[in-house]
Amino acid sequence: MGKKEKVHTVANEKNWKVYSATAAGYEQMLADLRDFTTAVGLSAKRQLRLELGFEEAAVNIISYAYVEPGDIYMCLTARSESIVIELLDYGEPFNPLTKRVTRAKELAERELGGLGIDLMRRTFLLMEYSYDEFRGRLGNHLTLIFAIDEKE
Amino acid sequence: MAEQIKFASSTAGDWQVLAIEGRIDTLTAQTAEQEALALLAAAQNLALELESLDYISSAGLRVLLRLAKEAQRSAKAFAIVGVQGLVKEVLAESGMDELFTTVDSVAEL
Repeated sequence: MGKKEKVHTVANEKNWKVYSATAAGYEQMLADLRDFTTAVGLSAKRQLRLELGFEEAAVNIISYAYVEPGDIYMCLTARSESIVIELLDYGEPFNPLTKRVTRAKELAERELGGLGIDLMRRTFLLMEYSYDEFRGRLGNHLTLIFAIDEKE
Repeated sequence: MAEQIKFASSTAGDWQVLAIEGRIDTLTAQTAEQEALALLAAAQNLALELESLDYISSAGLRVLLRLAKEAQRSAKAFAIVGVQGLVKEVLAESGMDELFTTVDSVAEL
């Protein structure tokens, strides 16, 4: 028997909202994100940048997490200088942050593998992945931290 | 949420120009690709005028790459006109700005 790893439980389980892992679910997630960031007072320019990183993260989960229909969970938190987006799914354990990035010179020859993760890295201050317990099950837990003000 | 994309086509010399306004994202990429490919099929050369495009994600970048490849396969020219803001940033960050002919205005085609 292998060594048993310590299981971490997601904090604040009540603050999460569930969506279907579909295009319609993504549209609702985007609408909720916009409502949230409008309330926070995010600038229009930063709003677009945040939506870019968010789309890459959420669509990756929706596209690849499940073989059968499944759910994606989202929790939004405002801090004094940042917005925290947490996404969780119950698909197979997969860390999207380890995906290889395709560089420009390769683009003409092949599909754009890893381009989305590169755009995420350029958008968020910090990205973390963990396989955590959430509402009694283990799931892929992605935490994305976005600076409210653009860093020079 | 209604699709946030609009198209307008025009000609400039031997170029067909497709102006795209709004967003090319996961939700609109297929529509944008179909619109542009249809125009490319009937055009001598194709330019995308993106001055009023506010947003592009990797789904949109894939559309641009497919259009460029299709144009190359058909021995036609493909160019991008007037990118700004986030779209310009994303093209530079992805290295796409090195792959396409980009000009500031239709007059430069």
